[in-house]
Amino acid sequence: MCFNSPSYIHDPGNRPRVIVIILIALLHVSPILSGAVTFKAPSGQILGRTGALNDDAWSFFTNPAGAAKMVVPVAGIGYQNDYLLNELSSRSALFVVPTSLCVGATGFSHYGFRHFSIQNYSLMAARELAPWLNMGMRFNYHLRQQTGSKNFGLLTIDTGIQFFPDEKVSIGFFVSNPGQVKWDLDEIVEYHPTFVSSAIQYQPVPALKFELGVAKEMELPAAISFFMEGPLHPQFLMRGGAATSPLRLGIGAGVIWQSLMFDIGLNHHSTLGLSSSFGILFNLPSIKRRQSEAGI
Amino acid sequence: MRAQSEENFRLWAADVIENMAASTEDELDYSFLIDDIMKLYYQPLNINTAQREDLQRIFFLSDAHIEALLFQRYQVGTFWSVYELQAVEGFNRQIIEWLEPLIVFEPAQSAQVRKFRSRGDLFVRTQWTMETPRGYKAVTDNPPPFQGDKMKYYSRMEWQPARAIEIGFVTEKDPGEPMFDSNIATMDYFSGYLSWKPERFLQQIIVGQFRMSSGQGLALQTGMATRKSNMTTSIRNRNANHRPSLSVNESGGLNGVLVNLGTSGFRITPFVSVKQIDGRLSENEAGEIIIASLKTDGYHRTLTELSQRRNVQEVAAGFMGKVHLGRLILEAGHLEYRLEYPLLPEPRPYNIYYFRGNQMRNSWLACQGSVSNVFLFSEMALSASSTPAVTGGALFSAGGGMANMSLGYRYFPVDYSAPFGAPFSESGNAAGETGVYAGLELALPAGFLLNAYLDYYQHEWLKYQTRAPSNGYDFLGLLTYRPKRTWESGLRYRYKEKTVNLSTATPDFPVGVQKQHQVRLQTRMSPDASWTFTTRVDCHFVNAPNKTDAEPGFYLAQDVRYRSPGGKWNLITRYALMDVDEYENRIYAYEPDVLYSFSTPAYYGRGSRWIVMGKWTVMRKTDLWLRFAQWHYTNRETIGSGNLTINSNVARECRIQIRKRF
Repeated sequence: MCFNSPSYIHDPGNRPRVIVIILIALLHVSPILSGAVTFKAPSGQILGRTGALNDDAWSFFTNPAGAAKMVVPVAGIGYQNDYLLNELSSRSALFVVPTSLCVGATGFSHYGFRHFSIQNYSLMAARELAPWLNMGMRFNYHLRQQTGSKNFGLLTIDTGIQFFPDEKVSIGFFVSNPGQVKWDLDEIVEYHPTFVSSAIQYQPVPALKFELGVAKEMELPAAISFFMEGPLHPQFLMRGGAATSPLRLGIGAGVIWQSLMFDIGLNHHSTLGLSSSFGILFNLPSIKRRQSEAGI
Repeated sequence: MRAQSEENFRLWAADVIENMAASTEDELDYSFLIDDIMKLYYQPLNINTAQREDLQRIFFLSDAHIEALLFQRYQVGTFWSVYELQAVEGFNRQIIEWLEPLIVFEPAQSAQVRKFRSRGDLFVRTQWTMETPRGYKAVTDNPPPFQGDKMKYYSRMEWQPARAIEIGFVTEKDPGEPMFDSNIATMDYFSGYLSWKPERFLQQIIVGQFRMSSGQGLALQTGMATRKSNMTTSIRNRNANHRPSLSVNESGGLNGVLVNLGTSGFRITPFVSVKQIDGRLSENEAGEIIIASLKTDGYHRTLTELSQRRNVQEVAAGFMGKVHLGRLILEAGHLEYRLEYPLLPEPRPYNIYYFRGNQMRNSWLACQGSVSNVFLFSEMALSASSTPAVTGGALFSAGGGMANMSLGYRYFPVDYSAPFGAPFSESGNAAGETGVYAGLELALPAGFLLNAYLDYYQHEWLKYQTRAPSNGYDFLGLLTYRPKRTWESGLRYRYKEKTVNLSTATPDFPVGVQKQHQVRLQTRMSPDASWTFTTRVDCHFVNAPNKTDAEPGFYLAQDVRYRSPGGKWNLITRYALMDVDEYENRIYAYEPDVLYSFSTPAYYGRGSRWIVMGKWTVMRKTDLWLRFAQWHYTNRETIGSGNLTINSNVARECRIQIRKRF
């Protein structure tokens, strides 16, 4: 939508070697690292969406490639609550800065409660390598705290791509923890979740999105998801989604008001009940844009 | 352009190979698929003089395409540019793009005066697994079971010093096999050929290794058998009658002398092959040596395997004749086969009709031809069986090439045996099978293409691991969407129903029906000459009679290919996640590999797979490939079994190949 207008596109230039080196780094050469998504974005995973084709600032918590087309700095905060239980809630903050080299971002999320929590500190870089290709990479440091135990840390990487075979079609692929890194918890060693997803999106008209995706966490059954988003008003987006394994239904909305965007998403599980996610993004005025508006 | 085309063919071959790998347990030598194509790179066909047999070498041209091309040439006389091929019925943009580097547009008389340049191609390859399997390690005081190291070596050279002469050799040492020691004096496998084409009455002489194919392969097919694949209307054997061969498949080939005599209308090809093959020898009650079974895997790593290395002489001799009668082609032949010792497998209910003895013979008669737009083919072959084996079919097109269809029928008596036969069939051992096949290829509006086949088969006797006469059917539907040159997506569904053994606890009902559902969604984007992105999702379900709670198998992979401008180097990467609990749900996926090496492993287990491969043209006519691949399982402590067991849940493999053209 207008909040992330794709009017500014990086000039990919003629740098094939750099591109390929980045590509390899992104996809495969760093399998020793891993990552996991703990915050379910209000415009993405809370609705059952795979996250492979998120294209707003919340991509920071899903496919980092989705932030590649952002043109202005964005700051955001979010709160997510599984099954309306405070103990299973997550809090997050992020800050996205587009530069001439790439779109950089940093952020934080905190999951859990007083006796058990996981904090994630992340750094992300995304770049539009060609008009038909976005790529992104995210470094995460996970800090695990548990009462009566020492703290444990883990460094991970998430990577993803999005490509656009057609003006109306987008395809995304996202992998978190490609190297299947393990937590070494002194007495036990356990895998950090590996998550992989892919989705295809069709936009018959701008801002109206239909998305079909598949997501798989290594130890869980694959989930197929359907998502749609459409504007009821230029400043009001409605979202809905459904995902399998188990069946979950999601509904959400996005409201744009001046430089702010409010996103909310609800998810219903037939046995466990409702989960919710809420976030606010603040669109910081771009220096470039201000210079441009001022005619400098 | 060449490098790009080479990639395109490999992508195409990938789809075909995956289906072949999924339908057989045997390790096939897939280099047959692109062997001819690679030769055509360097000696493109003159589209204005190419015969039907020449065009059949191009595997992505269906029979209907070839018919349409020949008909169009008959009408227009001479093609002058690639643009004229658009007028050929059934030729779409993709086919023309692929065809372009393989053909030239020259007047008929100019081909012979074109200057010849000698051509050579040398490949050297090595590969190894970084983890050391159990077979290479000594246990207490015992030496390691494998007598050699874990390196695999492969070399291959082809040289054409003159227009009529071709020379080639191939060597191979598998992992674990010794070389240059008392067990094996040189490399484990060493073969080659010399081919001379005088181009008069004596058409060709091959000394060394060669492959042959006649009719529909009922009695003679030492190349790659025709199998069910995404090319749903390609059920006719299209292999050349004879070719020099550099296959490293150590069983089933021919090695000797072949002479091809005759004119363009009539040819006769006598041949003789003498080989030392592997056998598990034993003695009967009279103290005579017998062969309990023939060993076909080609491995000679342990002392037992080394003792079975090339211990049986196999002699095959025969002839094949071919007559062109207008649009009708007749083929006939006879083959005598002899083993040094009698083959006497231990009797079991499933093998009582298997060949026993040391002498066998096959005779066959085949014909093919076209009537209007219907192409018909058939073959009948005899062995010691009282009734002949029969196969036949028809291919036809309608709607100006918009719809192609194929129908096939096969019947192989239960006691039919042919040591070099490999007809189109459901199972590797075709004896006792009857089947009907129908295939369709239909061009739909808006860039859609539908391929489908249905194959029904029944086996009139027990088979290995099937304790009763059985039947089943196999359906495949593939809907391809190609709205533009740069983007293609496909949805494939395959359903297979076959009879399998139940547990031994139910002796009254020894078999049950197993149903397999396989779904694949794949999309491939090539936005420019440099990049290709392929995303693929596979899901396999199996309903086995004795397994009611089986989880579906799942596979999701992303490939990225990059080719530098100018093609001096390229890079291919894949990341795949798999979760396949049941072996019946295993998923075959073609993997990026070095030229002339094909890997289509079965993804089975839970974990990930990643591959990085690069190719670099180091200097003019010299290419270097580097490939690294890793399996990482989360639900296994060890990988492999027996002597190949790796005590880790990670297995990494490196592969290096150098190619020198001269």
